[in-house]
Amino acid sequence: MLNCTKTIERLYPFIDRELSEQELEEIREHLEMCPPCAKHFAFESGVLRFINDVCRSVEAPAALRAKVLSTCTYASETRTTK
Amino acid sequence: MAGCLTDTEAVANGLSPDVAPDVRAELEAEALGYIDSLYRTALRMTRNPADAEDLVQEAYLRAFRSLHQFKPGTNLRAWIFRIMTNAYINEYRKRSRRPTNSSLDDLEEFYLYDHLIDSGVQPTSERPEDVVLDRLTAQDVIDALDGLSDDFREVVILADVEGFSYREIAEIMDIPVGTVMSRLYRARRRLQKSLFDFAVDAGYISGAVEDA
Repeated sequence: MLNCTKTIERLYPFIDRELSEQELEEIREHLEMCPPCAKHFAFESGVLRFINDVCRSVEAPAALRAKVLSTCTYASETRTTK
Repeated sequence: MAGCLTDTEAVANGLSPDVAPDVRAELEAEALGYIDSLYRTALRMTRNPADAEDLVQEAYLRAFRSLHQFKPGTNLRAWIFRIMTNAYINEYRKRSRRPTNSSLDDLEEFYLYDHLIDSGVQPTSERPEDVVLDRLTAQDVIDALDGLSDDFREVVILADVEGFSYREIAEIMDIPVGTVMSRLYRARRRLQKSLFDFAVDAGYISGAVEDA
């Protein structure tokens, strides 16, 4: 059973999904038993999600898209519209 | 203007002739799909829309010009991000120098969560840890990111906004995976310290117990 220190050490690899299935399971077990660590993990995820939301609201300007498209040899407008 | 160029025409256009037209067409189309991703990364790296547009254009030009060096079946998205990173280092880093929060070597252990738990909130009805997520603004996040050094800013953007794996980031930034992890850790500490300071300055929480 992991202790709190070992669990917090793996906070980011856990959130970043960089652990093996077994390591993930060890963390999940600890978080189920330990509300303070669970709250800390949830908070860290929340901060990262906040940063993600803020930055992802930006899209490439249409003029830039057109300029880049014009440098393509083959790709045409129809191929790139989502 | 889709059509088949002969090898001679391709060379005349500055293209490598050894990428088959159908392969090139496919790679170009896939690469174009990453334009939003590249632009928002460029915007946070250059911190300036005009420079960001130039950087993205430059990245595509370089990528299309060297498509023959791309190994089919490998990660095109990481490949073009790496090209953009190099373009940024070569052309933009020098002119966009600005002071960053570099005198923060004591931040190894700064967990915003712990500081919020320890600090008082006004009004006290709120849980301190909710304050950051509920009251800090998008601009606070942008300012905190912009205050990071280039290397820290990029690693955070690649991981937390673009969702690249540690291994992909190592490839893009040309650093070992261990360096990605330590840099990401330290960047997140600094980012959280900035957010904490903003929250204190705005009066959302009291920073008085910071050293308690």
